[in-house]
Amino acid sequence: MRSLLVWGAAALVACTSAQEDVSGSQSPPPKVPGGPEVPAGVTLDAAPSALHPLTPTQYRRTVRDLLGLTDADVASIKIPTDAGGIPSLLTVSKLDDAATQLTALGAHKKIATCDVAGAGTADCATKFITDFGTKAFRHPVTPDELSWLTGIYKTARTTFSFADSLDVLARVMLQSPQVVYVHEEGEATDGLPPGLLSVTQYELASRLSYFLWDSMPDDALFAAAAQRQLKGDGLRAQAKRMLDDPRARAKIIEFMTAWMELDGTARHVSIEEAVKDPARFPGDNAALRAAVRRETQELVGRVWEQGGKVDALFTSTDAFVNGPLAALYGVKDGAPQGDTWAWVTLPAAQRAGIATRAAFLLVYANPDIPSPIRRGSAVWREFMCTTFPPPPPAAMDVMIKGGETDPSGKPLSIRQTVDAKTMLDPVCASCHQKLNPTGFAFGHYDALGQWQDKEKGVSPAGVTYTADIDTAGDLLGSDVAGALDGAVALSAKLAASRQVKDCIASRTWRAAFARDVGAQEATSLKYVQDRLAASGSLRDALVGLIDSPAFQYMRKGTP
Amino acid sequence: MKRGTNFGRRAFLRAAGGFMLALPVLEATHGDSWGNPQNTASIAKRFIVVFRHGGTASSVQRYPINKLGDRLDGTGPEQGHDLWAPKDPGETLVLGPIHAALEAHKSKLLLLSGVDNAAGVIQSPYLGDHRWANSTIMTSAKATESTDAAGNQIVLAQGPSLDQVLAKRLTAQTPLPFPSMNVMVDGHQYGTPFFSGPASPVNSETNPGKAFDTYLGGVGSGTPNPELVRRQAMGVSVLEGVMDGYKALQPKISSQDRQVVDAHLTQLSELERRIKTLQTVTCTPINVDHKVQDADAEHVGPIMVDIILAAMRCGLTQVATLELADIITHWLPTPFGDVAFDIGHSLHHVASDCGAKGTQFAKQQQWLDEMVANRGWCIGLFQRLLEGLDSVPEGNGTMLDNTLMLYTSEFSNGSFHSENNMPLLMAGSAGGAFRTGRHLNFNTAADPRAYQSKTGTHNLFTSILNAFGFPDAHFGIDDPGLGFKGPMPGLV
Repeated sequence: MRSLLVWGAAALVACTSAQEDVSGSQSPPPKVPGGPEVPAGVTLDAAPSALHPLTPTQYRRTVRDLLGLTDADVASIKIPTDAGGIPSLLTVSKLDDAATQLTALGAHKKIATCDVAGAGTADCATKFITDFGTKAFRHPVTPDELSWLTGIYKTARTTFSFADSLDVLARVMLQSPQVVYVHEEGEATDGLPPGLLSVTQYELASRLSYFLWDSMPDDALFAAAAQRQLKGDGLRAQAKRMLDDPRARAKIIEFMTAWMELDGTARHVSIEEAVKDPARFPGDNAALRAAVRRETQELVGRVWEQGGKVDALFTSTDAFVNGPLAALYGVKDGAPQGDTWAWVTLPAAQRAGIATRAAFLLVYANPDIPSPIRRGSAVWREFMCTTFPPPPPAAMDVMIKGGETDPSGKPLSIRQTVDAKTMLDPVCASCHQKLNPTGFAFGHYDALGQWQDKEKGVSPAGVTYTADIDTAGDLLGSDVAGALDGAVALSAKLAASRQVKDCIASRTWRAAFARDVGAQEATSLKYVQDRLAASGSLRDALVGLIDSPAFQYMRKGTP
Repeated sequence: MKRGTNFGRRAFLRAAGGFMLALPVLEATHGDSWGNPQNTASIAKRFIVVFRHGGTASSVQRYPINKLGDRLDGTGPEQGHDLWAPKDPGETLVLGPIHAALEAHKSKLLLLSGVDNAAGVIQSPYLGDHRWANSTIMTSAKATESTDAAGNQIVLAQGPSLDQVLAKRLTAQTPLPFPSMNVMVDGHQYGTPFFSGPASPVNSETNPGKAFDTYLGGVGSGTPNPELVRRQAMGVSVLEGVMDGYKALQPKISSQDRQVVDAHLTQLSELERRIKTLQTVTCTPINVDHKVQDADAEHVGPIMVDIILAAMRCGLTQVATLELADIITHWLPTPFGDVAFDIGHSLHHVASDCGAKGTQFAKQQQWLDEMVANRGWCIGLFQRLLEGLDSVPEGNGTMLDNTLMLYTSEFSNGSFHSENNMPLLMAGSAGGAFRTGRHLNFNTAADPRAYQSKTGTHNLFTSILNAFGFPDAHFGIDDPGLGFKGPMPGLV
C-alpha cells in the first residue's frame, strides 16, 4: 500500500545522526549579583522539580537501609517500572505486597524507642510514628503527617491488636508517597530570582543520597540536614564523605553498567542473556558470564578508586580475572587458576579499557560472529551521545554470517560483507560510513570477546573459512576524527575526546534527577562539562553537579 | 521498554532444575461456571486477548523481490509461503499451517484476512516500527513518542486498549473482583499493546506463583476462615490509610505530577475494591498440582492459561489478557538451528535469506518447519484456553460460546514489520454475537496475489464493543486516514 512510497521518500534523505543536545541553547537570564554562592559563569537557575518514583533498585535499598536489613532480605522485592511514569495497577499492587512482606519481618518495631512488644499505649504509637516516620519519610514528621498517621492508628486500634495496628502503620508508611516518590517542596530564600527556590536541607540530603548511593540518607547526612550544614563547604564535605564510601563505588559501577547498557534493553540483551553458539564457544557458561560482569565492574571500581579518570576507563590494561577469564584474554603469566581471582595486566596491543573487555564485546555481538554494526553504533550512541535513526525493517533481514561469497564465488570477510550490504545503497551508506569504521576497529574480537588473529568461521554453506582482519579506517565526525587502526587506537581517541567527556557529564543528569538536562540548566551543565574536561575525573563531574545551581535549587512545576 | 528475560537457550538452561512450582487451582463450588445456567440472560460475556509479540508469518506487502532474494511470505507462489493465511481465500474456513491444531474447533473459529491496523499504518514513522505497532494494535489510538526515566525512547498510546475499555464498562455493570487479569510469558518485546488510559501501559504479571496469589489467593472456600477475614480487614485499613496520604499530596503538586498521584490513587482504590469484592466470591480450591522444573516460557505459558481459566470459572473476571513475549521455543525441535536467533522475531528476519536467491535457500524447509513450530506453540496456548472454556457447560452451550477470544500480534509479517493484513483469529462468539466457523476476507484486490483493503482493526473493535452491548459508532483515533468508521461488515 504505502511501502514503496515510503521507500522512495526514504531514498531522498541522508543519515540524520544527531549528537544529543547536551549544550542547552537558550540565552541565560541575568545573573543576580551578590546572591547565593554560584560558580563563576554559571547562571543561578534550575529546572522545575518533578515528582518521580524511586527506581526499583532505590526502593529496595531504601527499605533495606530503613529497616536495617540485608540485600538478601530484600532481594525478592521487585517493583516494576512503568513506561511513561504513570503507576500501573501491578506496580501499586506490588508496593502493597512489598509493604506487607517487609512488615512481616518485624524489623520496623526495632526503630521505635518504646515498648512495642508490650500491651501498647497511644504514646508509644505516637513515638513509633515519629521515630519510624522521620527516618522513612526522610524528613521530620510534619504535624499534618502526624495527624494523618495517628488517625490511621486510632481507627486500626478499634479493630486490631496493638501489634497489628503498628503493622498497619508500617504498611501504610512503606508505600506512602513520602517513601515511594521523590517530591520536593523547596523553600523560599533571600536573593533568589523570581520563582527560584532552594531545595530544602532534607530534600538536598535525599538528592545527595539517591544520586551518589541509590539509597536513603544515613544518620550523618540527616544530622547535617538538621543543622542546615548542606551548603557551601558543608555540602562539599558531605559529598566528599559520601564519594569515599563504598556505596558510591557501587553506584558508579551501576552508572557505568547502565551507560553501556550491559543489563539489556529493547535493543539488545544483557551480559547474562546474550545467546552464544555453544559449538563455537564451548567454554562459555553462566559462571563465565558472571565473571565477565565482575571483571568490568572491578575495572570501573578500580578506576574510580584511583581518581575516576575517564581516560583510564578507556586505556587501562588492568584486569581482575579468574582462571576462565584469564584464558579468555589469553593471559598466561601470573594467571590465576580456577575461581581464584587476581589482578593481571592484559596485552597492551590487544586491550585498552572498557570497550575492549568481554562484557562490552559479547553484548554487542551476534550469537556466532562479532557485529561491527552493533559495536560501532554502541560507540557512537553510548560513548559519544550520537544517535542514528533506526534501520529500516528490511535492514534487519541482512543476516551476516561470515564466509559469504561475492557473485564470482570469492569468499568475503565479515568486513567485506558488511560493506557490500551497507555501503552500496547511498541511503544505507549515509549512516554506515560512520558506523562501519568504528565497528571494524573491533574486528580482532570474536563474539565472546576473545582475541583472534584471523577471522575464522563457518560460511552459510557450512564451509569452514579463515580471512584476514582489517581494522583500519577513518573515524568520521566527532572531535577525534581521523585515521585509526584497531580498538586500542579507537579507545585512545575516546580517552582523549572532549565529546566523550561532555557525553558522560550529560548522562549524570539522569542519575541525579531521573530526567534530561532542563532548559534552565545549560550553564550548570557547561560547568560540569568544563570541570570534567579540566581534570578528566568523573569524581569532579559529580562534585561539579552537586556544586551547581541545578542541584541546589529548583522551580515548581505548573500548578 | 522492557528488558528481556528468560532469553533463549542459555537462560533456559540456567533456569532448568531451578525450582518446583505446585499451584492449587480453584474450582467453582458448583462444578460449573459462575453464571446461572437456568437464565441465559444473566450469563456474562467474556473477552480474552492472546497477544504474541513480534509478528506472525503472513504478508501481503507488495515487496516481491528484494536485492537478497525472494521473501518467503505473501500470497501466491511468487511470494513464497504464508503460514498464517487460511488455505482457501473464500468464506469456507480451511486452516493454514500455524492453526492446523485447531481443526477440531473450526466451527467456533472466525478468521479474518485483509484487515489493517490502520491507526498504526497512518502513524508509524517508517513502514512499521515495533513501538508504534504495539501502541496502536489494541488501542487504535493516537500514539506519541517520549523518553522514559531511564532515557529510552518509548512510544505510548494516548488512549485505552479494547480489553481495558471492556474491563471498565463490564465492571461498572457487574462488579467482579478483577476488571481484567493481565498475565504474561516474559521475554523480549518492545512494549505492551495494553493500555488502561493515555500513556498508561498495563503492566502484566510474569511470575506464575504471584499471578496465582494475586488472582486466586484471596478467594474464600465457603468455610469460615478467620485468618483470611482478618488479613483482608487489615488490607483495607492499610489501603485507606495510604489513600489519605496520597490525597494530602494532591493540592500541593503541579498538574503534571497530579497525573501520577491521581493514577496511584485510582489503583489503590481498585485494590481496595478488589479485596472487598473478593469477600463475596466463594470458590473451592481443588489440588491440581502444576509441577514445573523451571520458570521458563514452556511451563509458564500453560500455567498462566490455567490461572485464567480458574479465574474465569470462579467468576473473578470477565476480561483477561495473555501477553506472550517474542520467544524462541527452544524446547521444541529447532530444525533451522536456534543458535543464531535470540528472539522469535529474529527468526522471521531471516526470511529473505531463505528465499530462492538467499544464502540459506538450502534450509528453506527447515526454516518453515521452525516458524510453524514457534508460532504454533503460541496458538497451542490459545487452544488450551479455548478447550478449557469449551469443556464447561454454561447456559445452552459452553463457557467458550459466551466468550470472545482474540489472538493477534503487532505485525502480520514480522520480517517486514507489516501492519497490513493483521493476524486476527477469534474463537467463541460472545453469546452468539458473531457467526463463527468462517473466514472473512476483506482484501478487495481483483488479482488474488495483490492486496487492497479499506478495513481496519478499529472496525473490528467497534463491532466487538457492539457485541458486548455497547453501541459505539467508532473506536480509536479520529483521523480521515483510517478509512471508514463504524462496525465491520459481515460478522453477525
